[in-house]
Amino acid sequence: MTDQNSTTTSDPPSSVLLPNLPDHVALQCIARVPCSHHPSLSLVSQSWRSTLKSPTSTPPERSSAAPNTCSTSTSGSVPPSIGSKIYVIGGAVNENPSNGIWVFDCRFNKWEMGPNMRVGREFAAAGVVNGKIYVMGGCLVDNWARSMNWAEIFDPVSGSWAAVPSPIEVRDKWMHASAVICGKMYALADRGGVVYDAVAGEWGEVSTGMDMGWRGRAAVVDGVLYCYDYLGKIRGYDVEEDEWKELKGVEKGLPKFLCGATMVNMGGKLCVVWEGKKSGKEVEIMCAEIEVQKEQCRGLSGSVVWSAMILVVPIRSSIVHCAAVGL
Amino acid sequence: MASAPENEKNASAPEKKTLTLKSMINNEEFVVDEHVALQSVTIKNMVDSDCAGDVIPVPTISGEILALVIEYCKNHANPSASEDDLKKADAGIVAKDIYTLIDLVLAANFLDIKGLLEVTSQKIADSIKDLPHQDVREIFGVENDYTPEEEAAVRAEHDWAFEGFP
Repeated sequence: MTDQNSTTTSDPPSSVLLPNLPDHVALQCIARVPCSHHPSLSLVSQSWRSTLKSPTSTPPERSSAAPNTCSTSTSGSVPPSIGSKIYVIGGAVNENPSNGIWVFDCRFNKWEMGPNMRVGREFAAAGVVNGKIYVMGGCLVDNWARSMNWAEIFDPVSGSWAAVPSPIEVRDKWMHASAVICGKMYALADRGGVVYDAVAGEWGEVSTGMDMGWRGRAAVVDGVLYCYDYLGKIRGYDVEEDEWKELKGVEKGLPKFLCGATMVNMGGKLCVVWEGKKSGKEVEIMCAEIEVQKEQCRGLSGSVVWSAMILVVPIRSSIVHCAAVGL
Repeated sequence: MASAPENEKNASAPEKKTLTLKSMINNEEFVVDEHVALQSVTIKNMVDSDCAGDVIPVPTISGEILALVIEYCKNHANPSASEDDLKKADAGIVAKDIYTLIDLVLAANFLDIKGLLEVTSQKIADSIKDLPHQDVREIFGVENDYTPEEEAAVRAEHDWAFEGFP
């Protein structure tokens, strides 16, 4: 941003952010203010507002390890991510479905509470389409409010939730998995699943083919849904062909059984994160980055770019979710 | 992190060298062990390039602030200090009013002491976050460049945040 190396001057360039501090020092300070305080501080001046909104306001530190201190402990929550933030939505708090959301900003390693949803949810489906978070299910539809708000949309910019109208027949309770493919959000329920076209506002059913092969935590790369089939293979599903195909070419680079395998699209590559060697009091968390390609007629091929241990965690830990963030 | 001061200590062994830092604001002088002072990248560069004489003049930093900086460096040069001790000591150093913190962060920036810059910026951030925006403007001399209409619009944009949201 500014010339940070010129420390010899006795007359630092005046900052528009904090006039008595050089810009990069002012940024150091402002970047450390928790995001829940950003709205009120964006009233200080226009440059403050654009700094607080800007994803490029450089972080004082990068988070390299997974966050470990959420102020509440939730199970059955879902974590979509937008930019540098991971949204942990709902989940059970003391066995009650919560309507709260927690936002983890990876730039500053900080948890913040977000605005509450209209209904409490656990084991809901969530996905991001066009910068907005769609959440559906995970709640009983036993009253009017819960029926109307079975699906909700969150706008992170305005910080507000709104109901998404849904037909009564799609309102399943528990959602096991979800993914966004080409602007459509897919959510798997006990039997079958729903697909919501966020652009057209239309609801539909998930095809049986997709439902049958979808195992747990999946990731979408280049329009193909990938998941681990628990038999030793990664499979990919192409919506247009309605068929699961084995991802070939990765057998040598990956162990056969990927315990607790989670996948995520990281910058166009398929990243697989799994629980590796357990020793004494610790578990190794492994990660592999795979370049995947759709090949005409022959199916899906991949090559392992790298594979390594990325973290060591205490033995009782397990991978719940995996999200890619931009820093 | 913990090994850095030790390395520097070994490098300056066997004789214990000292440096004199002099505040050019009030001419106060501080005699400091070299390995303590070398935590400042600025001073290290001066020493490395043989630009440092017997007394190193430190412009724009008052004796009061320089004393805080040296206290920080001494703490962090002590190889037997635990992380916990250092945290407590750091908290003590930055437990100051906002105006002192601004001077301290400028000193940390000028002397290029990363750790001190971080703890001081964090403390400033902690102080800023609970201040009304009008006070932030006043303390830091930020000019309010919003028209009343714009200010209302920004406020409306974040309405939810002003409705008693934590």
